Amino acid sequence: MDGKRHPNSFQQLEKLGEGTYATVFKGRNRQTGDLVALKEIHLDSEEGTPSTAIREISLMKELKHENIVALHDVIHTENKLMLVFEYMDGDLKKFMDTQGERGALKPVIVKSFMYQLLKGIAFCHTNRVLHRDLKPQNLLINSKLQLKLGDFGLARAFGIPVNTFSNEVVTLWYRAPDVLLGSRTYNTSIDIWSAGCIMAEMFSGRPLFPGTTNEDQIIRIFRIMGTPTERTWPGLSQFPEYKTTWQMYATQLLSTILPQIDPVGIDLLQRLLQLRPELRISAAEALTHPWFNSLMGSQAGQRQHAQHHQAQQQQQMMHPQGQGGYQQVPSQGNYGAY
Amino acid sequence: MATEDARYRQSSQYELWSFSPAQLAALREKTNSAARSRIAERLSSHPAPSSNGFSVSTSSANTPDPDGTSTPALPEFLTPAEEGLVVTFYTSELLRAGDHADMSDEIKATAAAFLRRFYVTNSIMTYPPPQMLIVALFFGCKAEGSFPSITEFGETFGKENPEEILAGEFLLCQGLRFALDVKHPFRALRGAVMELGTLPDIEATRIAAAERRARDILRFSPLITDAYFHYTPSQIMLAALSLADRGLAERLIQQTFHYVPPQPDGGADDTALLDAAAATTTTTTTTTTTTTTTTTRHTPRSGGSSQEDRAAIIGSHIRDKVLGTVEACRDMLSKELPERRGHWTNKAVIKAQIQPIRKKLNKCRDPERWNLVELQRARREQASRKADSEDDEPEANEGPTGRGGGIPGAGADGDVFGGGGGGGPGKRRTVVEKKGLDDPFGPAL
Repeated sequence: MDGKRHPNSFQQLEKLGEGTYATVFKGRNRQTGDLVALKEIHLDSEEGTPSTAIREISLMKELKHENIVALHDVIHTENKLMLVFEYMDGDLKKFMDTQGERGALKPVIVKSFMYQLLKGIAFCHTNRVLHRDLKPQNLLINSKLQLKLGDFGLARAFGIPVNTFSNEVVTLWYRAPDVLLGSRTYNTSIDIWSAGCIMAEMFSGRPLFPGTTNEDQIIRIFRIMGTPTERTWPGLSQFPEYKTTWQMYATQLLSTILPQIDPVGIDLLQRLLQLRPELRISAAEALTHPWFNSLMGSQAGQRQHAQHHQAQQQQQMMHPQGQGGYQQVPSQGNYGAY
Repeated sequence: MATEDARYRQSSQYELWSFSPAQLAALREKTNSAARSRIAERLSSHPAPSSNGFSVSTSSANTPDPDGTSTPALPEFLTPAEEGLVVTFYTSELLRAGDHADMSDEIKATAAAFLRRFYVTNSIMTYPPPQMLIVALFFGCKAEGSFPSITEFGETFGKENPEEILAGEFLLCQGLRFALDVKHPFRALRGAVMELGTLPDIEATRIAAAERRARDILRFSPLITDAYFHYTPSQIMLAALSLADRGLAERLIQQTFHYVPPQPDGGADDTALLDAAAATTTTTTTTTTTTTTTTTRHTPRSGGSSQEDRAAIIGSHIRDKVLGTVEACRDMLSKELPERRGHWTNKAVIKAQIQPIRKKLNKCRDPERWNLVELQRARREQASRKADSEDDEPEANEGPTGRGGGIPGAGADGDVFGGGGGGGPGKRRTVVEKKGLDDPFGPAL
């Protein structure tokens, strides 16, 4: 991790994805034979090292956790900046597409993934880092069914006053209502909302709020969660995007919309998907939710569980059916989630 | 309990950029002697740089040539102490430049840390500090999440040519070993003030006065000394607070390390005690003050009963240890109190202390590294030539080959962190075999 390694230390294999800011390749460490993900950052000779890269390197050097994709090395030459990440077999989006039943995952898998997701989020939050862009494409999965947070290009460290953030961050579908309403003082709770959306999607196989525009996104959320009022959400009318013309929707029961989720799971989901950010559960609290009791008699339970399923899953993962397959499909506009 | 202290020990600041005074001195010594021998070699194999009007005529018999072959034309090189003095002077210049550009405390502090870190493993005889300080400020802005346009930034400092800043950015990045997140004591101070505010018997005006003074100290004293290399942010904060109002700092420490274990001094607890050089203070409902007091290097330990944890974290027996560490840090800071700002801009001081070193520096600087723009251009050319030849290389070709033949001096520098007991706590991953000059940026740190 010292920038002194040469790009040639890694054999570049197939491209995993491409974006405006970087191209991600699969790679192999020539010495150890280990697979890695090589995120090659396009250097803009005008302004020097791009902000996204600096943010990502800066944060990833500090965030070392089993549920966060590890940055092994940074290779910097005059013309190239390459981040060497641990290799993951694919992302949650592809996992759902290829392993799910019409995209829906088995409840035990969802529980294990949710637990790992919340652990990764909790670690970020105790280290004062907001991810800000959680979505299935940014959650990486390996053949051991470990889930790790990736793509910290939009993440940022937060200090005590958090009021100068741009409000153009999280991908629309997973974006928290307070952000959609124009809040610029958001905090850790925005990642929690995203986690709730992801939980629902893993169960159903479909995004919970697939909005097309900011306005549409807000309406889709209200249609299910109910339209808030100044009475249910004090201060609501102060938001820049507040409209007096919103249609008033009644709150629907999540258990009706998502019948595949058991009552305890619904309880957790309800706490994740609170419209008012201050009412959303924290990641640390969520990890102690009774829904996870079955997962861990002990701390190790979750790992055992993952391993238990590993055998049957691995078979499929290593030989994805159909063309493209789980490992190779580059998702649009993102870069293999690294 | 995952303490703030445990988290600090995972930070790159602790892992890569914390040293004991002896380790730090050894690193600087090594950097200095590597630069001497490299520059000696280059000066004797190249004609003297006449462009700056200085000839390399002043030989000095008292500068031992590291290789033993004394070349009469060699200039007198800077000593590690002289380098240290110049770096301190330029750190002061950096802080003034940051003030001039109205930068935040965090940006200035990060930039200062960058500059000082860079010159732990790079000699000022190799890369020019006046340029590098501007680069450190520019990169400090970026690392703190503010992204000024290079053109505007250059204008602020009278740099017409942004290329110079960008060329240095790359070098700086390397020198920092990509540890871009610098942890500062400012947040800890805010926590301490909130903590003190909950105590009923202390007047708010006293706290406010102490905070003002402590903050002023934090803006200068730890940045211009080696405090960041030796102490944690919380230790630095407590030392500054102690300089501002010793009573308040001691009160805070007493308040924090209050826990008396049920079995006082069982005797068998030596390791816990040792380990407890790492100590963390209180978490109240309002805020968290962290007092990481790790002074000695040790592997993080986890586990243990919660009682042991509590004792190891806030046990009363930790107090003396903390007080001792804070006192040592206080001594360091007291040598460069904010009033010393004037010292470093005093013309007489500069004339007496800095100018003579600058004069020496003009003669002993690295002829092939000093011009950052040219250096980068040479390296770029080399890299693209390399890339061209790479196209023909079969994939299985192990390691780079085409390098090193081209531009003299664009090759490897000395290995400061290498060589086993180099002292850096940085973890070395699998080391890729190096072949001579194939890596123009020097060997692994």
